[in-house]
Amino acid sequence: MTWSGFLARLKDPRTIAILIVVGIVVPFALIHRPEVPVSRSTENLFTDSYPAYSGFVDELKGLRRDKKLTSQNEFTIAESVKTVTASMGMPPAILWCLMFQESRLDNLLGIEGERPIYGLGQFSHFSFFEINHQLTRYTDSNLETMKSFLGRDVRPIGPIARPLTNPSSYYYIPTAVVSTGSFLQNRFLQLKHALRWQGIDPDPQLLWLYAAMAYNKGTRTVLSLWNEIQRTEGIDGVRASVVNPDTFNRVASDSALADASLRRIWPKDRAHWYSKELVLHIRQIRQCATTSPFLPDQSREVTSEE
Amino acid sequence: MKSNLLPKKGNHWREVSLFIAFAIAFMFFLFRHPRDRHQPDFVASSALSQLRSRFLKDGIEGYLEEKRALRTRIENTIKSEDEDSDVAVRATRIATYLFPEVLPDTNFEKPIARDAWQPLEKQIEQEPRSVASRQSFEELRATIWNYESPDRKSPEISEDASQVIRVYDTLSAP
Repeated sequence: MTWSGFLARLKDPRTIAILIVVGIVVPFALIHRPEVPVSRSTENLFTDSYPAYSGFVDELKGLRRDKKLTSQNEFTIAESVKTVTASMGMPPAILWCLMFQESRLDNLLGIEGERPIYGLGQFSHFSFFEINHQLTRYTDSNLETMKSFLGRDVRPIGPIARPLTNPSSYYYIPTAVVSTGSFLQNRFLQLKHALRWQGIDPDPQLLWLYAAMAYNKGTRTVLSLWNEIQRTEGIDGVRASVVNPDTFNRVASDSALADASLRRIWPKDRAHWYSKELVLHIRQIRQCATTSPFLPDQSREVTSEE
Repeated sequence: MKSNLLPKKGNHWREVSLFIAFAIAFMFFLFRHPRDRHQPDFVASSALSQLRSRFLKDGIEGYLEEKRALRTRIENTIKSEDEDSDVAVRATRIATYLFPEVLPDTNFEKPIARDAWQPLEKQIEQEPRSVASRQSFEELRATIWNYESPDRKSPEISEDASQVIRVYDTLSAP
């Protein structure tokens, strides 16, 4: 098109109308575009020296002093965690702290109890089912890690009391660590799938914290929380909560938000109880597994309530 | 004249009795199943129990017919009611486990429900009372428990989830 042709077109009322519409719509869209939260660097979110919180360090010393945690078991757990997490691409602190939270590193917890919940990761009948029948549902890395770490596929795994060195026993520490890591990884991948479906690409480190929530409180609890944020703040609110550590901290501390989300599933009293537990659980996981710049100081001062 | 205005002893007790009776009746109507009033029948009655009963009475064809009707009611409720209303919340809970396709795309549970348990439910419905359906049921039950239970120390699942498991337990029982 020549310059004179272009000028001639400008005189056309339809061209003028299009230019006016574009002139209004484009600045409007630019002004009102959704704010993408600026992500603070989460490079060093997880600590290399866990547990991070001094209260848990003292508790660990107490477990050693009272012979509730032998140096051999502590060493085996630490080494297993390093190997399994390296293979799964998981922060070691999150797996170690999750097991510390669940069982205080007592690999035989529940062996003589009446409740059917067992060992380091407090596995139930249905947790065993997932490891025994759905291990590769979300990723092959669970089975690959098991084979490389334990020498073979040791399934079916269960709470086998004798001998405790049976690789298929969940009381055998290396088996418990790889099974617990697999169950945690499945929660991570389930949550990632739900976010990707909405076009959200989460910060993996924050997603590991949500996965720890899902491990303890069920995947549905986390998804309900995101649904509640979506209802009140829109999809950008959810996006911010999985990419921005400050937003994550706000969400993870908000028991009213958790309460509102859980009331859509549970009766009022149960929702209230679970919401308080959820906030407490994730606070303790953060205290144990994350570096101090990530966690607000006031949260670090809260002692264990479990 | 003045003494005539005072209630006689017998009348006084009759009035008090009537007042108490009216108060009790009022409280009864005020608090009796407040959520059930003016709500669709899938909330007023137990729709999930009906599904199971229909299977036991009329077999898989009757069950599927009942399920289709329930799906229509759930879908209409989700589309027409305020999402914060009790009836919409209940419909959403049922849809999560039986009809995830009618959930809004913004619901984070939708993709999980479609991938994790809906295929297992379809498999059970295609071959009820078979060995394969029993295997699918075992997987369905574990999947729902692992998805929902919010307490590792004292595991439990919601009433709706329990009822869905009971329905498919019946459908897959040899």
